[in-house]
Amino acid sequence: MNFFESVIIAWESVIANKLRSLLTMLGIIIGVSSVITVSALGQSGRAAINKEMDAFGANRFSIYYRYDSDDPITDADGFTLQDVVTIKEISPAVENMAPISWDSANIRSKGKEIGVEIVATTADYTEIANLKLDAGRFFSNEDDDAKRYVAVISESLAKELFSSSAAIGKKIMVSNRPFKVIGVLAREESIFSMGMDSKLMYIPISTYFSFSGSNWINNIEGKAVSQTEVDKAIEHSLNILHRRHRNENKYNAWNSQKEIDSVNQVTGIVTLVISAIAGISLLVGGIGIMNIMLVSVTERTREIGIRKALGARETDIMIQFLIEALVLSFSGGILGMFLGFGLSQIIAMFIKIPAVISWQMIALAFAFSAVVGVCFGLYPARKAAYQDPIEALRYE
Amino acid sequence: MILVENMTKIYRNGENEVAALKDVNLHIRAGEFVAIMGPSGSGKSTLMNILGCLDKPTSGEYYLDGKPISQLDSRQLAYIRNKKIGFVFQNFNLLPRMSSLRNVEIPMIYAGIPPRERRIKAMEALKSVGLEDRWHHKPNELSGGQRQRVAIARALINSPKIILADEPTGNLDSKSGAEIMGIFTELHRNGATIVLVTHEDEIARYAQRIVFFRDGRKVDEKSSELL
Ligand SMILES: Nc1ncnc2c1ncn2[C@@H]1O[C@H](COP(=O)(O)OP(=O)(O)OP(=O)(O)O)[C@@H](O)[C@H]1O
Ligand SMILES: [Mg+2]
Repeated sequence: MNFFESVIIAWESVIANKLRSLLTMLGIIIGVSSVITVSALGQSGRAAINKEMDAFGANRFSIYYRYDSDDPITDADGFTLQDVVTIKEISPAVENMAPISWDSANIRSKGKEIGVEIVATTADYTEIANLKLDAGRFFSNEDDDAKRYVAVISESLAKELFSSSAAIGKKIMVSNRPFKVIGVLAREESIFSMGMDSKLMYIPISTYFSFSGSNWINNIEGKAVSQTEVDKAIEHSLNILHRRHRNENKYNAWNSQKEIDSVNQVTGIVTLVISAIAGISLLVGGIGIMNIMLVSVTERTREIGIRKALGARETDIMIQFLIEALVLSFSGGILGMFLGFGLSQIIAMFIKIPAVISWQMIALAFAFSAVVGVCFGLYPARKAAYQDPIEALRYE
Repeated sequence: MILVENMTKIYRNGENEVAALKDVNLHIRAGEFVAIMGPSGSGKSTLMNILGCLDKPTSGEYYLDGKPISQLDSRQLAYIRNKKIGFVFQNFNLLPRMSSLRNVEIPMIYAGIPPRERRIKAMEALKSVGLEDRWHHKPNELSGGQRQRVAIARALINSPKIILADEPTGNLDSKSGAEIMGIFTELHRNGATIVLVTHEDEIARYAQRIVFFRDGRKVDEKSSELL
């Protein structure tokens, strides 16, 4: 018997019992759609985080104080500008390094008053953080050494105070001191910022020390010479810091690779759990198909008898019922696939991560349905095929 | 063509044993038109099912074209049912969800005939039984006589040499019955071997020879002119 015709015959019998077929397919639909949804979101989530980390810089690391130790952090433990210079000089693994002091302040310009974050750092920071400018320039070492009152502001702050391009050369008052805007940063798109750009103002760290009276450095941002040297760069930096301050266990470091690893671990576990659930629902779906196929074989015993009386071989009957099981499971697979696509698009809309749908997933969904169809269709199909023709014809 | 030797068929239902056929010998030559008669339960259908390769005897042998059927496997039996024998049932045995045309096509599907050719041949067969305008009707949209004509068209579609009909007119009125017998007579004239079970003398008269059964035994045989 022609394969294509068998598919048509099977399709007709699926259509003839629409509701029953749909209910039978439910397990497969749920299984396939959950596999698709989870892997689409998992993959795109991972891709988004990796992209974010890449943008942040895979070579980057950050050193900060350990506030979790019993020993409180004292002024003597505080980072100094000389620490940064020394580490840069000694460690071959460290390519660049910049201290950062964070502060918040109310600034005034043209009668407007706005709360901003002040980031006081050195000129090296642009290179480490790979900052992009919309207009103007970042401050230089000269600006820093001369303690000039210059500032580079984030795009959202520029928009709020002036219009972005017109910001260069304007004055901003911070604690009654006039800062001249010399640069505007480009807007940064990030899944972490959720579309909101914070109001930041970058100023030279020496300027900050002189006008604020504080010389507290909150953390040190570093960049290793390569991704493989990050661990070494961190080790050197921590050793040098502890040696210079004659203390121990006061500092800690963070780097993006650690973050990527932990994110991947979590998404891996989630994927595993959902895959297990999907596997179980596919199994249940398969049993559903087997059940309905057994019912169908019994219901159609007479048909089997008639077909055999007219010359159908055992293989003909077997193929007919096997294809019917396959049509059921494939239809379920296709419906599940569309449901999965739809679901992942909807969820993607809410969490603002684009859903990634790959051909591998489609292949996987089809493979799943095929395996379920064959595995659970085989027994009913064999049962149909090996019926005695006269018994089947007599069946009421 | 058909040779039955010492054939016995015993049905076992747990403890009970029913001997439906007892030591039957029967010879039917190619091109013969034979009627089988006998009271209800005398084993006529049992014999027909064995002749149609749908069932197997408990003992004895059935030779078709000189070959012992007991030696054949299920594949070869399917081939015989498909190509050599056309079976017509009392209750038509049409597939209810399919049109007349599709029903007539079924034996050709298993003979491996391509769809286009099938459609044309099935249409011709329906025409030959006078149902060309009913090709798209499902069995429940047809009268009993029309259903039986579809079933006959289906039985004849692969041009079998032998036609077995178990009470083909049993569910029909006398007019439809006469129409069906007209078709059989025509087939016989064209060289087909026909074996037909009936309770009615008028139907049996169409045959050349009549074989009588009682309690699973062949009890008598005579020419139809003597009825
Ligand atoms: N599947 C079966 N199981 C048990 N006994 C059976 C079976 N089929 C037929 N018989 C018995 O075998 C005997 C012959 O039955 P069969 O159907 O051949 O009779 P028949 O001559 O065709 O009768 P009728 O004219 O009523 O159709 C009967 O006694 C019947 O009860
Ligand atoms: Mg009978």
